[in-house]
Amino acid sequence: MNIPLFERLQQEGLISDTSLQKVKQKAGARLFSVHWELKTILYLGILLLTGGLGILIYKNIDTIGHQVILAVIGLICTSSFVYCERKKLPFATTKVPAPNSFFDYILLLGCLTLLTFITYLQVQYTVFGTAYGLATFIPMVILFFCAYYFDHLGILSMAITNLAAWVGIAITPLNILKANDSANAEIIFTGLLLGVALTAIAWASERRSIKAHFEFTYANFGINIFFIACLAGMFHFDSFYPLWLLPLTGAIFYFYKKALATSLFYFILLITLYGYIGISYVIVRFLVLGIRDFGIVYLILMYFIGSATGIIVFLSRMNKKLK
Amino acid sequence: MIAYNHTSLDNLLLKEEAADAFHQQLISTEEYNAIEKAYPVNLYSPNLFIRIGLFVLTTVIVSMGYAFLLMLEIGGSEKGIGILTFFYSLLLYGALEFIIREKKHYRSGMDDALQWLCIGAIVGAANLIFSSVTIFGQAALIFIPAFYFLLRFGNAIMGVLAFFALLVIVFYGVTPLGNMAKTIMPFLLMAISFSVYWLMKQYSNNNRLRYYQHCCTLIKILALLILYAAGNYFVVREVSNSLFNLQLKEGESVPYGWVFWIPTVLLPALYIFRGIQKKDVILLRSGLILVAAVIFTFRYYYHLAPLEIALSIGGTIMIVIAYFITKYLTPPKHGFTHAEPNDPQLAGLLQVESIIVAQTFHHTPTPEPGKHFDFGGGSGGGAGATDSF
Repeated sequence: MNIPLFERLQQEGLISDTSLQKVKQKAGARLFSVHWELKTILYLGILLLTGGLGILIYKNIDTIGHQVILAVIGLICTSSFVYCERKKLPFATTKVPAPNSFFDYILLLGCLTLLTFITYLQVQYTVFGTAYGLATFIPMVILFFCAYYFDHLGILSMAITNLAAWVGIAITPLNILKANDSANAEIIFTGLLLGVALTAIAWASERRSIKAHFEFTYANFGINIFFIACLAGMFHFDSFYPLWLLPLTGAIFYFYKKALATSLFYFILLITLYGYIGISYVIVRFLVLGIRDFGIVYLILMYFIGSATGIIVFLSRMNKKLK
Repeated sequence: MIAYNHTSLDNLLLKEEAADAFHQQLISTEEYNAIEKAYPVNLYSPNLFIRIGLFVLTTVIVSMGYAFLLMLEIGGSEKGIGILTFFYSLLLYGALEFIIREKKHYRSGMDDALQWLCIGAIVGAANLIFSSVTIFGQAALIFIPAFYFLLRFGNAIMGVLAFFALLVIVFYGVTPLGNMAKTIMPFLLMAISFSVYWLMKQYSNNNRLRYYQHCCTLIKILALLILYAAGNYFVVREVSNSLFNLQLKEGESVPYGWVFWIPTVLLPALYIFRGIQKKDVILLRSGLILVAAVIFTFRYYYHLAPLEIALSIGGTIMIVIAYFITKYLTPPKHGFTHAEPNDPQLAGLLQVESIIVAQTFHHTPTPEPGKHFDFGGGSGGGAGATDSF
């Protein structure tokens, strides 16, 4: 807080005496918050512990030690869940705040150790069999249940990732780009459907106000999966590539409306960039295949310069419109 | 020196202060609006997402424009293209000055992109005209425009770039002087980083540098990290080994290697201690990050325990530490609190947090590749999604 500055504002009559006093008081009594430092340490601690335990089990399989490790994991898991169950505020379909800053992380620890446990049971004894992807299905159900029951966004994201793994695609944010090299038609259609389904759930969550604050997480996964599947389809299917413009335009329209309604620039940026890639691909491909002349290169370059300028104007307008 | 109108920048700083006070409910909405009216900011600074979009699109336009030029010069010599590239960089600089003077762009994404592309074009041109430019020359070519952009546009990333370029210049400028120079290199780099940090610390709150506060913060962080890296045992050993051709065998150390274990271990502790003592976020966070570097360095050379046991024990210790600090700071003590800072701008962090969680934890059993597609069919996927609700 810049005290001289606020004193000047007060002299100019822009802020009242009481406001100046408040500012001075706040500046004098400001506490140094180590909230994020502690949260990061806690988060990394959980990451390391669960990772370590996960490896420890496999390294010690078939020794007496591994029973002990299993017991330790079971103990951590149960005590975490017992703690969360005791501390949690009553369930509601609206947003339920965490009772303290530790709660979210203890719950994370519980869920992760539970997953380690289930994975172990599956690998060692094939408890869930090999059919119907039950080994991925059960963790998914547990994660969705925990996300809703304890109201936890991070676990919801894990559950959605698991859902996608269950239907057969890898979708953690980085893997979207890396693993899905779009070579498989089946994955593309699965992706389209999953994208639509997630967007629909997002819509329903908000409409029915069942955990309406989960809406963004669903919509975020939905929009990315859908657009990537769309573009992948466009690149993959040689003969009908312009047809993919239909779902693309539909999605752009839907999320444009949504962005206008919620004033979320994030969606504007996504639809602009994904849409631009898709439309440019179709146009360039059409030009290259349609006209077999070297001069076409100039036309393509002109197209990019012109269209990018146009989109800059569009983004600037949106910036004003959504302010 | 700075390209922007001073009144606009002053008003912007004032508005940021007022917004901060407003979010903490120290001043009323009417007061905030009155301040906004009395000190209008006419700069064009769109939000982060638009900024990213403008950055990408500007890059597209500039590279397509460059391709256009190349098409005109097809069949030309390398030198000719180089000269063309040089003129292109001048053109980019002109465009940059234009959008700032006429359109008042300030951190809009377009100015960021043009600064990067301008430096890129200069370096590219030099490489095309003079067929072999030394690393020293490249660094100098980057340093001069980056430093100029830092002063003229107050761009923090340009400050970082200039700092890195300066270090490279020193490294490649001093190394040829002989063995003595190589030996003192880590200390020289440490001294430079420390001086930069000290200068920033002294002058970052100076009124004359008020437009450069963001730059000062970022450079301070970087200076602290480089100060540590330059004295870190791992960095010193591996860099000397590969760049000075020492051909060290495993387990062998650089001469007087033990000297570097002192800063490797002590510096992070010092950062954290000073950070707590001075309530300095930058020092404290840099110190905490560097604790990881200490552990990594140590484990790289001495294996006290297998990885998984080290992970489990380390994780447990961290959880316990976080728990006890939280307990200790309830209620707040010595001016420290563990409560969330009251800042509505951080509300978006929750979403980021959930994405990080999803990114780092996905070790659930995945079906074997062969059976992958049996249940990966389209209809199965859709049904699965509705099943769980």
